Amino acid sequence: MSTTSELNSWLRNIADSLDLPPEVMASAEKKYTQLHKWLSRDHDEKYNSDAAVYVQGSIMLGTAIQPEKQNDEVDVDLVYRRDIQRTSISQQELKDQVGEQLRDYLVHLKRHGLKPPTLIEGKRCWTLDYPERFHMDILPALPDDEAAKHNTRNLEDAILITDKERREWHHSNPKGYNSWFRDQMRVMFAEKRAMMAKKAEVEVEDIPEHTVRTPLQRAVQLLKRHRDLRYLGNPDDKPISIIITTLAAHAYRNESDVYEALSGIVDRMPGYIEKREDEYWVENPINPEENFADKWKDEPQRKERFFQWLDQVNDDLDEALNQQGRGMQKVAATLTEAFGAEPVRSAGNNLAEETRIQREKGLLKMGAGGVLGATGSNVKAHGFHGS
Amino acid sequence: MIAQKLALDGRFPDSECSIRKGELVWIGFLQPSSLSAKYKIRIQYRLGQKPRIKALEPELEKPEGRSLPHVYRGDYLCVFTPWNNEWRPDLRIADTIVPWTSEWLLHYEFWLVTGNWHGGGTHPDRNYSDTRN
Repeated sequence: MSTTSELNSWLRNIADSLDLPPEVMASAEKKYTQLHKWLSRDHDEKYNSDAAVYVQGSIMLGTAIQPEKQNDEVDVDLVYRRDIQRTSISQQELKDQVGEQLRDYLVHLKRHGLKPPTLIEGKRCWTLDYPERFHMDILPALPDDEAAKHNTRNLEDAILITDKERREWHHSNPKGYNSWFRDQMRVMFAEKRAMMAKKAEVEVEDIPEHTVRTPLQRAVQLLKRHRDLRYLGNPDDKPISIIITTLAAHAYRNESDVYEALSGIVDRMPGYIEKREDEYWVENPINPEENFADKWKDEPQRKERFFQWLDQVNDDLDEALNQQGRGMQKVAATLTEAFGAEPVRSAGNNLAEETRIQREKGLLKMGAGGVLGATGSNVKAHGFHGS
Repeated sequence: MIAQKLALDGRFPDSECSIRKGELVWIGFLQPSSLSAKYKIRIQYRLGQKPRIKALEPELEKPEGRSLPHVYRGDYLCVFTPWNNEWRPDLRIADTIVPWTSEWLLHYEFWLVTGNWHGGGTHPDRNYSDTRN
């Protein structure tokens, strides 16, 4: 194995352990299904129009990560779109009506002896804060009747959302963004999914899309974790996920290896930040009017912090590479600095187990200089002795 | 013994192997993965005895005063179970003891990272230090 393919194994396993824990996901899914069912029925009873409730954000993109701190919460983002004209309702009315429905939902839960979450109003959404380690952000929305003006693709998915601080409706298109993001990794996604199907000996369609992770998704997860660790004390200053995700997706070159993907992405990311006169732009790839970096103009320290952080990622990756040949524990120490102790330990445990299982299956070989891997002559069965 | 030396010389041309007064001494370098350190290893072997394996350089780390996993007294590496017939004098050191040592080193590095030994094996009395078959 070459060094980068070994670093790839480490990074892939680290990213694996950043995925939301299955028990949290299962619990969130249950709560989501509950809410979805109730909201759909309530909507049909109250209104004469259609509606849609769906997941958006990092869970839809497959780039969600566990919160760094034990007591931090996983956040599940939902859209509740009511299919009515914008002229028929004001921002305030839409927000209030959805709030009313959610209050009814809490009453419904109580009536059935279930502990209701806490309802909190946000700038654009309503939050249901569950006693388990997660909350759901519900974004009230309408279809965007001027989609073509503000969107370059997925016009049917364009929505208008409320914003307490703005008089105008805010244009958004989370489904459109997701479809753009997935286009950037289409080839590798199909390859990974086919590989998973082959390994499990099932049809490709039997592998659920949300279980597939490409090196782009892994790289975004790693970048977000690296950022979260750097900005542990001052989370308000941290580079925002949508900028990281957009630049990473632009910079991805279909690499099949997480290390290659990540280092390539980090090198190329700045190239996708435009300077238009005196303003920095990270254009929303599906809405050319929206600048994800709009805050950088009035708060230039945000731009500084973004580049400082990116330099740090670069340095950490170089440092990991420099530690080659000095011991996995040295490489792991660098990766721990970058991504945290727990994911690195978990990656080490997985990789060590893999090696043992390979040997027990008679598949572990030793090549020149003692390097263990898939080439060379077989390592015969044996057991380590001694305490 | 000569056959052992020939096999070691053949498979590890950059290593040194000598036989003096009935003892074979092999000194070579093993790097179990490209991220791993390159370890200078000494294997000593006398007919009728078990091979004795020692990592000479770099010095093996013992974080927080913990003792090394799967070693005999004197930090000789235990790379096989003595009563399982895994090692027999008719086997080539080059094909058994050396790859097992490389695997030991790999799991030693994983142990440094995780605090767990994933190599499998048995845990006898710590004072067990018999070097004979």
